Amino acid sequence: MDILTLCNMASRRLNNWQLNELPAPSTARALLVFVIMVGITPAGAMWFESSMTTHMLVQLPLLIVLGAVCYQPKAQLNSFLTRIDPLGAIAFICYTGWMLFWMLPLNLDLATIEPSVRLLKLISVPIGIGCCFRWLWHQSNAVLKCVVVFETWASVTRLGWLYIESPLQLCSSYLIGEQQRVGTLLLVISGISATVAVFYSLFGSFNKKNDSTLAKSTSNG
Amino acid sequence: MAVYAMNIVLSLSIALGLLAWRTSNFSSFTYETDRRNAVEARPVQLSDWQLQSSNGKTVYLSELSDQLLLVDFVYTRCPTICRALGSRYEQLQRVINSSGNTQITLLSISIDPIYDTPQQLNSYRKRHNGLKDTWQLARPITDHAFQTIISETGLRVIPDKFGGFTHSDTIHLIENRKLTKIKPWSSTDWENIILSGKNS
Repeated sequence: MDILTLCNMASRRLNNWQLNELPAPSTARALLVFVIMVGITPAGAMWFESSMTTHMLVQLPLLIVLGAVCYQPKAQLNSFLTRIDPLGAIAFICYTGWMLFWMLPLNLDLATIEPSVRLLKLISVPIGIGCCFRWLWHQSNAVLKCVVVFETWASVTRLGWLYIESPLQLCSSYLIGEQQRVGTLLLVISGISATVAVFYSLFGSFNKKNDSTLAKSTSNG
Repeated sequence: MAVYAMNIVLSLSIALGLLAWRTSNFSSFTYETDRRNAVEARPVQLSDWQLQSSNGKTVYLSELSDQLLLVDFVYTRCPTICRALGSRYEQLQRVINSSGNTQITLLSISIDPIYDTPQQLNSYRKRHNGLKDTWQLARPITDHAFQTIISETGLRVIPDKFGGFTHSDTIHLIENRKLTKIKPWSSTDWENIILSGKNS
């Protein structure tokens, strides 16, 4: 089996991953509202933002995942979005832009200081990252999906590496020791996700029942 | 397809524009650099901070900042950066004395006002061969005064697990109760300001 065949298999498997097995949007919506409300209240905000680990590795991922799961546009909105962004490129720009925005230490710090930036975080992360990811995944082809997956993975890895290696305290709200701990955790996450992605690309879903659909579609064309 | 391409270009421009605006044209990516750039772009009018000097008397910022005031924030138990700041002030004090410029005062404000009594402040100055004429030390009298200083300068002070604090290692230039410049302690701009006698 040569490398091209492997890449081809990987991109087909990614393309067939349709996010169909996610929990019901209503549950996710209730959870998202709860997380946002907790994030707004002073005690909740303090809990989430008092440590860099809970801020970056609990609150932000929760908002992203819940935003993605909640996303279920009505037919009217769906047709409007299909008309303005048929291939998911605009959603890709929005997703990348907001990811970049919230990876900047400046914005992470401001979110802990300024209520307006905190509110922006609670709104933009589920919509700008979570919903956009869902939309672009739904609309885009295998190439764009691969770009999204690899770019996200590479960003997490780069950020983890930067947090560990930087001799400077990048976030003024958090100690440098905590920054290094988050960096290590980001690298662990990127390592685990890379391993899972490789196994998934090569051997398919762990649920073989679902994977048979892929086998059929692959053999058909 | 041409419309779609235009939409893509438009959304890309908006995304880049927002990032450029947020980071002051891609120049400030951390809170500390943003704070420095913001002060340089728009100096901050400060309230009349109420402090207790190292001789125990109450002093107000207006009494100190009629000329140029170089302010750093320290705590006397600090084993790391405050020692470097103390040594830097010792150097700057030598420059002030050799230049004969009497219009500049160095001021160290404690960020640990409970522990840093006037005696502690005096011993900190003594450790760094400070002279009372050119180097003032003070602590905020009340918690309100401390919070005012923090909010007006944008300084971040985070308690660490050793009972100390992590804080900015910058020096602040105050002219007539206006915060006009924030630079790292190691910047050579401070010598230039002392020698020229004005904020260049």
